[in-house]
Amino acid sequence: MKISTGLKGALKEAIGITILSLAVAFLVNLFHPHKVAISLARPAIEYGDDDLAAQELPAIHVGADGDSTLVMPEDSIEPVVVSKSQVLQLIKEGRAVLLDARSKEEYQAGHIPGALHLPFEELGRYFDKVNSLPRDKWLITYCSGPPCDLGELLAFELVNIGFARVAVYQAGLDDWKKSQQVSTKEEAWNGF
Amino acid sequence: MAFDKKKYFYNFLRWGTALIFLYAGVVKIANPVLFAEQIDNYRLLPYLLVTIMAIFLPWLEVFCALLLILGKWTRGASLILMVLVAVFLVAIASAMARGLDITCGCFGATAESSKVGWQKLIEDVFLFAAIALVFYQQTFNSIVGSRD
Repeated sequence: MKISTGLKGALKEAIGITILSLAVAFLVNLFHPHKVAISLARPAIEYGDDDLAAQELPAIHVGADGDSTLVMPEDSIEPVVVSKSQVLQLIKEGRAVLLDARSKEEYQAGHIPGALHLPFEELGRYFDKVNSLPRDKWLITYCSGPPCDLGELLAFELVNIGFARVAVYQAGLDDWKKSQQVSTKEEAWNGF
Repeated sequence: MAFDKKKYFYNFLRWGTALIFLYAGVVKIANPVLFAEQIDNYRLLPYLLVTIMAIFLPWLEVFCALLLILGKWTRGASLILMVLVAVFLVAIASAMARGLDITCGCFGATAESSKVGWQKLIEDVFLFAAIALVFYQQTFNSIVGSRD
């Protein structure tokens, strides 16, 4: 008897608190500088004018997905965009080095197996390592996927430094994880 | 003597959990858009409910916390917080089961330490135990505590 009275009292109070919170919450939201717009549909990802993830980089058209004779251009003055199957094929043929442009913590939490860690935001500290990268292989950069543009930024920087075979896996790790495993093992910078 | 110890223990739990929820609510009220994104990342709710929860939940946490500190309507406040933590536990466990690499949205921040994972799950289990004890004491054993 006492238990049910206690529970009833708790429920009554909880309903009162809920109504009070609802009223205050929606009233404050009306005037909040960062107010949430109540909506049925998710807002589309908005890219800024300088957002590299929104740029249309040339894609590799020769050697379509799944084609066993993937032909890459000899050299390129700007990064090219590659798909997951093209990444898989280039890696399988030993023609590419994958570069993870994200932070150390994100890299350690999980990256594409074999990918080296080259964080765009700390690129200055990796000067010697960047110089040790092979020039005869494709350097494929990636980030987590749009709207993250660290992969594109890193790719453009590598082109500026003088690398002529630079590609971006623009769909990034989010796309990779849909069908492939990730690794948490730190990869060594040698044996290119 | 034993009476006092129990009283202090329950008061410590009540104020401790209240301060955690007060902080959690205030930081989320400061940036509800970020909180909406964090809820949405769980991919559990339709977007309409995501926006409503992003507006409503932080204030619910703040009111419950304030009432617990003030010692008013403590049964209702602790009941709500208990249900909330239970829902958070289910959400975190489901995100882990689906392999989602997301921040939990617990304290608004996007720091690595707030990533969904075992650490968050265990923290929430302890939080649930604490708030459940407060609820039990306030509702069924009020003679021991300091409920007004």
